[in-house]
Amino acid sequence: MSNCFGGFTVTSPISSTSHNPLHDLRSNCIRDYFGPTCQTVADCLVSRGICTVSDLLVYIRYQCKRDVNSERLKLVHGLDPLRKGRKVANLNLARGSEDNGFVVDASAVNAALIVLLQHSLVKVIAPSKPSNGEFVKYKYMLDAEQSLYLQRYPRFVEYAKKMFQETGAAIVEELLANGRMTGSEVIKGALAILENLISGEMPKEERKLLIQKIVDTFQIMVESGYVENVVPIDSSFSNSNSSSSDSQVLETNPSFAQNEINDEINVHLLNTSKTIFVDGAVWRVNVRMFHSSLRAFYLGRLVAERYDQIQFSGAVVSSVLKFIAAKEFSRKFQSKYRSEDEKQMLLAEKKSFTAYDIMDFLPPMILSDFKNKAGGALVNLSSLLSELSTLIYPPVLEEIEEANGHPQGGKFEIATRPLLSYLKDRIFHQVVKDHFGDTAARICSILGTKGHLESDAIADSAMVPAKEAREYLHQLYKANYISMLYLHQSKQHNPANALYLWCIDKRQMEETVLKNISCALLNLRLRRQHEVEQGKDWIERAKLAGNTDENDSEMDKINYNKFCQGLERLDNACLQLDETLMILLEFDK
Amino acid sequence: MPPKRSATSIGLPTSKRRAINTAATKAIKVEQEQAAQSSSQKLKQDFIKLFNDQPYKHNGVSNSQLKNLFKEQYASLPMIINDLIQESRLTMSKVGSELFYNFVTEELASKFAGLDVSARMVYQVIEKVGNKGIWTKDIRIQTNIQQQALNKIFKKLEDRRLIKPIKSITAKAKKLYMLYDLQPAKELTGGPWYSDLEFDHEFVAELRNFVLLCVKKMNGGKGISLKEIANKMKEANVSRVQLNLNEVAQLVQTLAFDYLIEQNGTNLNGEALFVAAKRCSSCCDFKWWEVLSPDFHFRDIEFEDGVLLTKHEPHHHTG
Repeated sequence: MSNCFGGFTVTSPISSTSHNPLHDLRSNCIRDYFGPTCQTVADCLVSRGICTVSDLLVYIRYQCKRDVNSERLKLVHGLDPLRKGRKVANLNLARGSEDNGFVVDASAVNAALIVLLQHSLVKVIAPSKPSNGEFVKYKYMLDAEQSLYLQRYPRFVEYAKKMFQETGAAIVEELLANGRMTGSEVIKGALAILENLISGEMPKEERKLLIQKIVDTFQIMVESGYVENVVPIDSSFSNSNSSSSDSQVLETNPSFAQNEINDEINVHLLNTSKTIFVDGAVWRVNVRMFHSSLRAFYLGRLVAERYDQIQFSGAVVSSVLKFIAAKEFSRKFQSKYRSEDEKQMLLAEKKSFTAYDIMDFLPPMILSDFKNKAGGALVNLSSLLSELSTLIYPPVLEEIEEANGHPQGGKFEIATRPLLSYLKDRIFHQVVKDHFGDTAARICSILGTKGHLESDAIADSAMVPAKEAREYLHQLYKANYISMLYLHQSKQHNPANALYLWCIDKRQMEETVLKNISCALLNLRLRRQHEVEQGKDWIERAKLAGNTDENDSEMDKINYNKFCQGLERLDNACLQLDETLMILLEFDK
Repeated sequence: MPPKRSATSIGLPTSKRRAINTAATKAIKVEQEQAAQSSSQKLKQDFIKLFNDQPYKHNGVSNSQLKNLFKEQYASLPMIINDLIQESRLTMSKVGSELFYNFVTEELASKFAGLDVSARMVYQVIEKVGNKGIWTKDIRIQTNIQQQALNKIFKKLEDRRLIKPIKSITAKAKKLYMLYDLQPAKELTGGPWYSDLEFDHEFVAELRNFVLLCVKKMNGGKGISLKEIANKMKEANVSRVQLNLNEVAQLVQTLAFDYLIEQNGTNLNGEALFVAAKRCSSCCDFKWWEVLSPDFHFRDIEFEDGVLLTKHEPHHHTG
């Protein structure tokens, strides 16, 4: 397969000709963050589906190994090293270098698998134990969606900084960089990050306070669901009730290894009031909670912009969505469930809430404003929710139980799907407008509203000449944004007599937009990676230089600055695309 | 003795007698003819007068209606009808299975005077299509008249102001013919949005901007109806042609499809009110869709502030 980048490889040996940009994007993300060996293993899992380690190894070796003459192998094997201290000679059995993803060594494959497991990119499927006590084989499955989150980590860190300040950002950064960690490791890592931000040495007292602050923030993040406990893989837990296993873990008294007891961090952990930090507990970032919180932000902003005539409309909708996210992920709510069945039943009604439920989630300023008005906070909030339930384009809430006389201010259900659908429609309109122009976007709106139309009718509605309308229609059809339906007027196919009707299918439109975004994101990432490869020297010099100026001349300095600016532009473009991708893929879940 | 003959008969020679008989017969005939002529004239006048009465004035008279109205005199009508057709004062048409007669004014009839059969055929073909017009090629096919002769006929009819040539927006090079007094259909002219057969983008853009301004400024931006917009446009004399309510609605609709205005409730008369659409963050700030082109990696990328990422040289390796 010809590689347009010359010697710069971007795919693994298992990758075939690109046909699905989303898949290529995921593969590229894994390569970018974890290296070519992990990419090879991930591509193998995509190709083979669920498989064991031995299956994985067999397939990878089949793809990466080269035919070696057995005589030659015998000659090389066991050859003594020429000089003392050197390793025994070994023939490279791979078809290419490890930098290009060619790997045959079992230890390398295992290591790559562990890395993917560590970062929750691979799920383990523990089989039920056979009764005759045979060797148990675990199977592995790639969680393809997780790989897309890798490029979203800066957004999560930024959100954590907004919610929990620098401390929270440091915790999230540490957890994301390492995949999963124990409590003490998280605190240590976050402490190192925060200490780096402060110039000079920190006094001991200040350090203690900082550690306590990190522990407290970590506790809040765990309780509110932003950090989750990773369930052990061991199959002995797989059949038991997961909530009871969680409570067993929680009820266990914290006990740390004796040699760690003097560690100052563990002292703080031991002194925490709640028994969260238990021995063996492993933590990771709860990405779903972050997505839910970001969804609350975006939909709240949408409502605030659409219905700016209603004060606090956006903030209230954000609070509702945050409450719903907390209901699903927060430990405070989960500890209230008496059984798994009750939990499932309540989660089925997860979109419903009362005015009383969301009061804790309102911003303090808004809550105090409601309290200061006549009637009190609950009454005012309840009347605002009733007003929001009367809005129709797009609908925001539905009033399930009337607010008047309700002890909790009325029961409502948030219309997440219609809000999301409206937001998506605006996104598609913007994408088509930026790609093909105002008239093309107008044509898509017309088809979306009026259904199947002939080109002349479209030209009439769009107020453009018929010839221009036909050109736009063909461009949109070629780009797969719209479809065509033709109806024969006679038994034989006669193009002169046939009726050609244009229409738009929302699902097809969404798929096309997703595909284009993935393709654009992939191209930008590849371009960036190649730029970095080309500018390797500059980056190395910058790393080694430290405080001194690494550039010899003024021209060099200008070129280096332009190089950095170019990379920054590419990064910004990737972030913009990722934001749209997140809304289209994640907010529906 | 034989009986006495009358004075007239006795003594007159046969030729004279014959002449007297012929003259008498002729006189009788003339009298009869005159009587018939006068009754025919009266019938003709009655027939013509019929076309001044309602409902025959605009719709014409059908054959069956003539039978009912003229009863015994119906048999005498064909001659009158033929005369009138010859004089181009009457036209015939078929509606379903019924024959209809329409009276032609003298002024119009004078225009048809002297026209031969081919010219009348061409005229009829053009008349049939109404305000949609007909291509010269189609006239040639339907009438089977050669192009040269047809051109002469066209010139003759144009000079008499019976037909006129027009052009269509869909085919500017080809000529269409239609009756002189008719207005071309909207499909041919394109309506008020076209001038000189070209779509006037600037005119439409100007009108759209005006409507948007009306929506934003009038009534404090709280909402205005379609009628109010149309009245304001008339008042401000924005359009070079008078726009009807449907045409104004068309403009408003395009603004709604562009998410620039939206409906917000109704007024006391039940008319929809339009307001400026609220700005909505679309969460799609990326504008750089050239990225999708297959040769993106081999292009120079220059940003607004002069930052340049130079292209890579295409370099193909296998494997």
